Amino acid sequence: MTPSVLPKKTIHRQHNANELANRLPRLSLEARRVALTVQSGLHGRRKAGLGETFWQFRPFTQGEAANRIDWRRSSRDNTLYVREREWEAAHTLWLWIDQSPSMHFQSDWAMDEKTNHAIILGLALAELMTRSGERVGLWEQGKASHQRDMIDQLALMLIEEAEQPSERPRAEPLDRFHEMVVVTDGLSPLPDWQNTIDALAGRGARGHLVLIRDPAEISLPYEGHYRLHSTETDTDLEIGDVRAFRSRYQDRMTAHYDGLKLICAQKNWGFYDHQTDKPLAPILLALAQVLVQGPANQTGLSDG
Amino acid sequence: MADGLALTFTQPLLLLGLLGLPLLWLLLRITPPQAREIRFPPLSLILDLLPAQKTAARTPWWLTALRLAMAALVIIALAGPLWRPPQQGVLAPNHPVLILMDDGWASATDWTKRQAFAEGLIASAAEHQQAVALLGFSQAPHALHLGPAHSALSVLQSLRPSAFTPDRHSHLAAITELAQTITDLDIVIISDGLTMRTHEETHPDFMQALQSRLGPRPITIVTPLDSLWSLTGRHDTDTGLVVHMVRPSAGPAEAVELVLRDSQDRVLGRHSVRLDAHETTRQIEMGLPLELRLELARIDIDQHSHAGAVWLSDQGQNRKRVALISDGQADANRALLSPLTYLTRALSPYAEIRQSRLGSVEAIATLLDENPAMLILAETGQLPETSQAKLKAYMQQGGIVLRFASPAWTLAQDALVPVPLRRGGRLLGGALSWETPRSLAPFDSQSPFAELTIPADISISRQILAEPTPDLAKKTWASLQDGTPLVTADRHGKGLLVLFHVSAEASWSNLPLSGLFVSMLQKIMALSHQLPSDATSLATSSDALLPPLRLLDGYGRWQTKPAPALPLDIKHTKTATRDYPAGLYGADDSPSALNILSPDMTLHPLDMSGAHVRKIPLDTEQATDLRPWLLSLTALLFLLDGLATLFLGGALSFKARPLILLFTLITLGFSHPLAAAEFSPKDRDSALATRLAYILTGDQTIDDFSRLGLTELSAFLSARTALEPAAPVGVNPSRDELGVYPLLYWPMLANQRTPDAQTIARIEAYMKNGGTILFDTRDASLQSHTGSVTAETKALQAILSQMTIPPLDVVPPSHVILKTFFLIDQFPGRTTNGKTYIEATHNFDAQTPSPSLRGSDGVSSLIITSNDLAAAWASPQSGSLNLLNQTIPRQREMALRGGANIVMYVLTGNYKSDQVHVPALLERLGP
Repeated sequence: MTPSVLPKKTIHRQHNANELANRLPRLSLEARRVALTVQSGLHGRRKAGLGETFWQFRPFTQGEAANRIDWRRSSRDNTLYVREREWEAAHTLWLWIDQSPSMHFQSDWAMDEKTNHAIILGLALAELMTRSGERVGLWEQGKASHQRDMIDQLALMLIEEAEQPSERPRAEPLDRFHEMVVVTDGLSPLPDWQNTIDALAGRGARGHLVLIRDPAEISLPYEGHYRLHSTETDTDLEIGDVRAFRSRYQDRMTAHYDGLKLICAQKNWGFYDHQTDKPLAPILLALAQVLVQGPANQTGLSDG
Repeated sequence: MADGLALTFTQPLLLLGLLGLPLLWLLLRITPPQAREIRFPPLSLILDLLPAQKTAARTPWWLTALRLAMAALVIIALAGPLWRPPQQGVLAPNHPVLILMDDGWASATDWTKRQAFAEGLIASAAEHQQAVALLGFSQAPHALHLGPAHSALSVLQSLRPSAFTPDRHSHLAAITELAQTITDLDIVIISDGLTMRTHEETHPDFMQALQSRLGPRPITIVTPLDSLWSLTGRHDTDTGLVVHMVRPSAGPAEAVELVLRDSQDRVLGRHSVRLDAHETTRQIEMGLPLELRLELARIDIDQHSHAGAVWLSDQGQNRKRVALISDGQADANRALLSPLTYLTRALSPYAEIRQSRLGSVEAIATLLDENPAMLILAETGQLPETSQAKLKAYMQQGGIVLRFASPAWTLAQDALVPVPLRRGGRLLGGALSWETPRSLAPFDSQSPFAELTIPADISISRQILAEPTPDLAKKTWASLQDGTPLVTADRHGKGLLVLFHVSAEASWSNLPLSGLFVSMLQKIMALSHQLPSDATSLATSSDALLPPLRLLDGYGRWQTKPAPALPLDIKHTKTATRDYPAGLYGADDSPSALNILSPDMTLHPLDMSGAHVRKIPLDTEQATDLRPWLLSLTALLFLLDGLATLFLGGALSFKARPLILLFTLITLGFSHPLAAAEFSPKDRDSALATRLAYILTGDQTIDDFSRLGLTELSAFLSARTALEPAAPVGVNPSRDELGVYPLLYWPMLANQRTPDAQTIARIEAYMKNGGTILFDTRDASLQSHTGSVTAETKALQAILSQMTIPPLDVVPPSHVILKTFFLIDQFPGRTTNGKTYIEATHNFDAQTPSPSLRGSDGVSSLIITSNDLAAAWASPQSGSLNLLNQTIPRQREMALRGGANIVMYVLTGNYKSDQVHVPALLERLGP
């Protein structure tokens, strides 16, 4: 198949991937910067465990394996010591970043496109998690890793994914101790979301849904006569006077987001809301705290 | 004078386009205004929410109407609508007609309309085979006879607006006589609507006089619409001058500009005045320095082309005569030691200085006969009794005698001084004196010098002292710091005797070197007045009659050809009459001015009451082209349509609306239907490259000839000379910028339309500012056959008659134009027998060219030929123009050489004539 006879959709997707590749250096830089900002607010888990970092020495108790004795410390006095390491829960974080066409939207009131915010958020999260030794992977790719330079690998995977973006995460149950972050604009119908999240949380795994929204999508701040085109299909809608239409639109959208929130609450998932006219650091900090320090603050951040 | 619709179209067939409007209406109705398009991600979630407000599927009716109106306007505008107001039938031409025309200065502004009106009358009379008589009031009174139309027409064409007020009363007898013999005579007066009265005049009004003589007989009066401002005089004030303006009746408010000119017609200043609607007289004050006031020779109301809007001033009528007498030897080598030097320098800008080479006694006798306003005795010793008596008598009459101390006075002095003087001088700051040179004390408030400021560096080192008498302080005008008088004065009868206690040169003090000295002399001179006793007869005592020097025509322009005028007796003539038209009379150096109006005159509207008088306005309306107005209206509607579309499309938020409204209003405020771009691309291109240009005549063949001819000439110039002109262009003198072309070729047509006044003014300005026009009447072949004036020549005469044209001459054999590039002896074209005229140089080899040549670097502003140059220049091969005679190659070559010479002459100016002197200069430089 020569490129000239590629189906239109394929060309479109390749174009998307190329464009994303162009933007990614900027996005990953931005992600590192945001991660750095947030990292100073985080700290370790303060308990002994399977980590590599030294935690404390404790006296040898009878019956322990002899190879756990730290001989260098024990040679100082007559007591035998065992070196304990900090407990590092090397559990796995799965990311799913929405790259569907609806994410490529930026109104006059927003700082950036929704995709860009989603990608920065995802990459920054990955950076933070790999630094504290956890494994991070893209859900669609099904491979998780704990390497330090995750951002670049993830970026490459994102480009690959951009060629065939999916509407929602693959509906397979997560492992019991895995965790998942879904970054999306949540614009699929509610029943679809219900199915997806039910499937993901089938084994009781915990997850977080981060909603990325453009301010124009929330308030519909246009005036006058408009013809709205869908980003996914060929449908369009003509509105004679947007102002008269606005309140009904807002009602509908509020209902949709409330439904989404309810679906998350049913499965004990975190629900976070981010608008593209606001900085990313607060939402990242909130997410990182929940992910790193465990389910202490399960209810999540109610933003805006 | 055809009846018919007031609205006519030049291309009425285009109006058929209006039939297409219904189709357009259909199209417009079904095309709704465009919505704004936007991609919106959450659309799929809200698809089922039907918008409450359905989009207008059809264009609102008012938008459709607006667009239809635009289309209709464009179609109508393309059809070329002309608005021609209905013309009233002036007379029922079943009677003989007597046409009386006011052809004085007041008719000048709309003379062509008057003439056209009269022509129409005569034509309609001829149509009905009625006899006509025509009388211009400015003609000499003569018996009137009815005659055929063509003789009346020739009389009409000979009439020109005259530079005086015609005396209507002088024609009463002749009119009455004619009216009594022909009982059914129609009388039509084409009037300027003006009566001029001096205070003492007791004439009954002309119309009343006419009606009382003719009895009840219908009279038709054609009156102009506008009321003319005229100048009736000027007088000087301390700081400027006051110009008097009048008009017969209240008219529109207008802004006029007064233009002040000197005797060389150079503009000295301009003064804008706003005249209100109700004003009929106005005195305009304007500040003007004395030096300029003395130069002022002519005041014009700008853009008012009639002789009443011109005020001529006598040259030197403002200059006072000052007699200067000194015993000292006027030695050119020791000029700085002579008081005459300082006094002449100080006074000459403001006064006419009279001097005598005789000794002081004889000089006093002769100069007093000239009745000077002031007599200055600069360096005289003791005056004999006889001279003193003469001077005293002079002062009794009101003269001023100004004396300066002289070194001779230290020994003895006469009695002709304001205060008794001490013998011997006072030396300050000399080698034998303790004292230092003194400065001036501030002037007393009573002193004539009170307003002057004293420079700090004035120092008086020597003076003559006065005897301290009780009235010394009263007579002192200026004193030193120690109170000793510097200037004293005493009244003698009506006059004054003033004494400077220092000499008028720099040895006693540095006062004569200072500006204060000039100011003091001016102040003293301001006290004087020109003695009224036969002051003017002085210059003209030998011949009391002044010959005409330069006369105005009715338009207020200088006449170039001598007009019939009698030598003027200035004493008995106050205003211009038929025998003495307005203008300058007398000798070249001090002419006397005769104006149309005099300061004691008032203008009144002509009394047109009476039972049988029918008034008709002079039809001033020309057909108005409505196209620009329609197109501007369309543009306006287009703008509105754009705004409406934006509004419907929702692009206008509430915040932006006031701004856009404001912008629209501003745009509308600045838009003018006829406003054009400041520089057209054509003007810009022409300004960037030297090129020849020709005037577009409107005749395609002639224009083609001009273009081809100039193209060939340009090619010839590029081949033979260093000049490589760009492609020639045709210009329209009323629209295009002329100043960018060095030479304009203007072929004349037989049916050439005379350009309007504004265009003429542009052409005149072009010629005055150094441009040259090559007129070609192309009629040399006709001239030789018939010997009469051809239509082309007539057309040229009509154009030139409206301009101020310098005297012309057949190109003399020594003229530089014959040797600017090639050495030639004539300018052949298609024909060879026509003469070529060029501005006359008085004496070609003399250093001073004629006045008009001075401004243009010695280049004549017009060249007139009749040889049809362009037709000869145009190549025989170029185009299919077979009108060209079989030109002999040699003749064509010579024509091109002539053209090259003309272009070189125009471009190089007097450089080429200077080249004549090169051999002499080289010889002087020596080996």
